Amino acid sequence: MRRRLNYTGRKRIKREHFMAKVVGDDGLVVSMHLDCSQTEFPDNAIVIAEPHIGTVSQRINLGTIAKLDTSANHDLSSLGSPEKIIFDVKVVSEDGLILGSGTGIPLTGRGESGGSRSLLPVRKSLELGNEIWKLRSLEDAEPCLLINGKVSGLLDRLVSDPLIQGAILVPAVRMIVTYLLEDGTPESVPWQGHWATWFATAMEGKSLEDAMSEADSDTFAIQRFADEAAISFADQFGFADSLEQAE
Amino acid sequence: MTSLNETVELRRLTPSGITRFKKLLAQLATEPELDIEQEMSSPIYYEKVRSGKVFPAANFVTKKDYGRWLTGQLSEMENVTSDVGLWSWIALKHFDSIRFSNKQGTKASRTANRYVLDTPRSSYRHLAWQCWWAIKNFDTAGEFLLDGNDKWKHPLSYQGGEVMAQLGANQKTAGSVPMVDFGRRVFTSPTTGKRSKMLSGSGRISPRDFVRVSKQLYLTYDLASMSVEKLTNLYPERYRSLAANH
Repeated sequence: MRRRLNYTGRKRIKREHFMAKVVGDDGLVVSMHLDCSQTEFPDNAIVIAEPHIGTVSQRINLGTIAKLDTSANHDLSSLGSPEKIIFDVKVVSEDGLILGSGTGIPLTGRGESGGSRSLLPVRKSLELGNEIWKLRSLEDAEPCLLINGKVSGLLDRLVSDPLIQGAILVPAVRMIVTYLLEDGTPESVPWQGHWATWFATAMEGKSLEDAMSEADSDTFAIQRFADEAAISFADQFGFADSLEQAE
Repeated sequence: MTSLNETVELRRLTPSGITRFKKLLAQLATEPELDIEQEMSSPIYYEKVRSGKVFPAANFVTKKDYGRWLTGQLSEMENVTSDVGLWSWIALKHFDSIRFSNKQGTKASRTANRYVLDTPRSSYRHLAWQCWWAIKNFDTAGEFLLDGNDKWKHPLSYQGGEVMAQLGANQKTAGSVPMVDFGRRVFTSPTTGKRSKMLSGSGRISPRDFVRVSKQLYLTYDLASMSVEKLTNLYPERYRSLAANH
């Protein structure tokens, strides 16, 4: 299990304290908001947002803690697809030391509320080729289900059709849980918090941490736990049961 | 010296053009004499770029020249960074010049992402995009990223050992003006300005190790906002002493 040391006492900027949201109807214009009222930083600390896709990133200076300037909108069209853009945000001292940081914060789409927390947000993507769905890379940010934007009505069916829900969501949950059981510590996977909460509920109180220690990186044990969690998820929503009743 | 002999109107490869180009690149492995331009002559593979921009005839001696030229030509266009069709067309147009060549000077194609822009993870591998990106973002400091062997027979082709391969893949960590300038100080001679032999190594002082150390420091420091002098003081002695000589 990887361990990360935070010997400079860097504070964590949580997702609920930073929001980047798509505004306007054209292009990819984004507004940002940072709430630092919960954390104490020096007034002269500099705030920097870094939207990035893969290896391509931009750097946006949002002023200082005392004079935070989030009034301007920023055009991120040059970065490419909005569903893949994620943000890192840093509060930095004048001499370059990072005082606080938040990583892997997804861009909130038009009409979405940044305050709500979905366990598995869904985004349309036009870059899936002939794949129907896939998970965005779990290394970059919290889980996000990408569905093929070319498939007409797929989002509606995902919301309403238990057959589509069961066929897509159950394997997606299995994949996420497998990833977490391999190395899902809060240090190595910053987004694991609400999934860890869900896991404990789905596994009748067994914590993610306990499951990780029990599995101890053994592939078969990890798979067994992931199967149990996926079954619990499927039972919770009763996908097959509702189809049986429908017939 | 390599050249683009005629003025051409800027184009973009269509999805079918990109698919065809990739297929031909794969075919080149077994048919090195394949005439790519001829095979891509059908108009269905191209679409016009709205700006109506033209590429004038030009000559390039080095990757730096090429990067500077591309930066100038594309300066008025918006959102070109991830324009797969545009960059693939540029690579196709300049294919003979940028095509990979080995030590014997024999031309080959290698992987498709050297010619067809593969966003977002491997953009830096694209042989035209990387020249444009280095100059556009870092100007003179970016020239260091494109430094290659002066004696290479085909200067715009992939040579191996360019710093771009390491730093381009780690833009978040190393892709800032002070970091690139610091890297230049470490890996070039303070007297002649020529690249150090350590650039092509993988040992204790090498681009790979430099990126590894930088990634560690990146967790604690905002490297992009620091001066080169401050950066120099953060790094281990082996890098500090090299940079301090400049």
